Amino acid sequence: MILALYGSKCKRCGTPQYPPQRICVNPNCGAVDEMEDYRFSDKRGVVFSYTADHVASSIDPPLLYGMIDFDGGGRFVFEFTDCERDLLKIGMPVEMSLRRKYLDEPRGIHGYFWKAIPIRE
Amino acid sequence: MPDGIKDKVAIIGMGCAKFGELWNKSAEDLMVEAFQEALEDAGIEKKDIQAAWQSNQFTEVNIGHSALPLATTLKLPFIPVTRVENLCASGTEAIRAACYAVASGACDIALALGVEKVKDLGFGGLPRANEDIVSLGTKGRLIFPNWVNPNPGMFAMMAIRYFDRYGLSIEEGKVALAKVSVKSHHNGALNPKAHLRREITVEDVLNAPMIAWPLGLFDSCGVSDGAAAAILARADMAKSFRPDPVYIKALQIAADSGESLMYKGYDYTHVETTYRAAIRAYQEAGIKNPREEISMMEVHDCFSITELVTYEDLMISPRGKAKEDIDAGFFELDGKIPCQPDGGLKCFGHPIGASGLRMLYEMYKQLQGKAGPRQIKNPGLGLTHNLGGQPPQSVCGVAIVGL
Repeated sequence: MILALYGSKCKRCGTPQYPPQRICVNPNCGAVDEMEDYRFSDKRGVVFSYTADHVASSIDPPLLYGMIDFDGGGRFVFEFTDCERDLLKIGMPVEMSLRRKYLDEPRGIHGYFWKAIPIRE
Repeated sequence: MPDGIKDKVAIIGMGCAKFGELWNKSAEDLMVEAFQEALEDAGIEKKDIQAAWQSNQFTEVNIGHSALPLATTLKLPFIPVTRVENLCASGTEAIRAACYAVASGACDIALALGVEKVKDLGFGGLPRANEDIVSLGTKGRLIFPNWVNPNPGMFAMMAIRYFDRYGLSIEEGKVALAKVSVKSHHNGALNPKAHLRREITVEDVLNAPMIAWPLGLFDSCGVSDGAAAAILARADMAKSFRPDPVYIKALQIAADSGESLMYKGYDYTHVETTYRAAIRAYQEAGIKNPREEISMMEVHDCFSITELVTYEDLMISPRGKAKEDIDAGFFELDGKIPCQPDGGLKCFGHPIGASGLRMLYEMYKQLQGKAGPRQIKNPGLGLTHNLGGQPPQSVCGVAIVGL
């Protein structure tokens, strides 16, 4: 579920949250075990903040990442790809794309996860 | 509303090692250095200490798990010894533990000692973030960005939001941040225990290599080894040890609820945990107007932006007005509320377990009139602010001390 970018949506207050939670993150709600599965992978969002990290691990430094506010609710931090830092601005619309995130050569593990990309029309 | 800790516990001795790139010193060396100074300062014997707390985060590197490293290095005689960790706020956690043990009557005299050998990690910064530092453990490796150290980027994002919210261009914002670092370096240059001891200019800061945009090298605290220790005793016994014990007026910790990371309510232009801990600390100490009543502060300047928003989160500067106070020299050593009189994390670096205690050491020495060329005139109340994690998932300790 986590790898599929499914979070949970509180049935009581309607707040989507990622990663999936048992206790609702809405400070005015706090409902326990009243969640339903909620798919974030097909949701669009906007950039809430961003940075270009020169000390992070990347095959194409600097590593770009930021906080994404999803349409309909929910927020989390993701890497960006398919763009340069000077394209990034607060409010830029994004969609999610499953990409290779790390390569663990000695163990032969290709780690995939979702990254935010500028919307391709 | 519970009583709180005000005037129930006093600090009767403190020690602080010389911080730096200490390749030829082990964690044991640093523990002994800080402890011996504290013991001598308190004028007690080791056998008088009835409980101890060790604060450090990177246990794997040359220190070890539990509090046995502290107990066996100092040869503490079979007393209760506990290790505490709350990311970068670990130092304040150790003080809190020792303080509450004394206040509860579980012991009369307790030791809090923080130590870290961050240089031994062989990395410029705090590594192994996804396993050790952030709230998700190994799950973080899967879902968080490929950080080796989340801090620069996550704090940089707060600068982006802050500049945007208060109408500062990147250049204007960076100049305000630069003044914060310049001020700290001026104070560190006067401090023989600091790691970095040279003055810098705003130009130096603006031209420094980029770390996580828009924060550069001189917006970031250094990586250093160090240790610091405090010996605490019951307030009603304190004057039998020295004429000038320093009393704990407030000690509050606040940890994030998850809202700042996963819920859209957070504005990312402040640190909520600082704000909540400060409200409770001021209440505990009986402070109604912090800007008028606090004399001096040591805050957690892991990055210049952290210090800037902290001025506002501690309700010293009004929201959005930190830059005005910075420009007016409010926080300089000769300003209204000197901030980082010892040089801060900027000049001491950040041996995680030690930082909270090192901050307290400066407040302690200032109150006793022993800060030499950095001495602030007639300080009343000193505040320490010790922040762990990053703005969307943080834990903050605020302590207030006075004579």
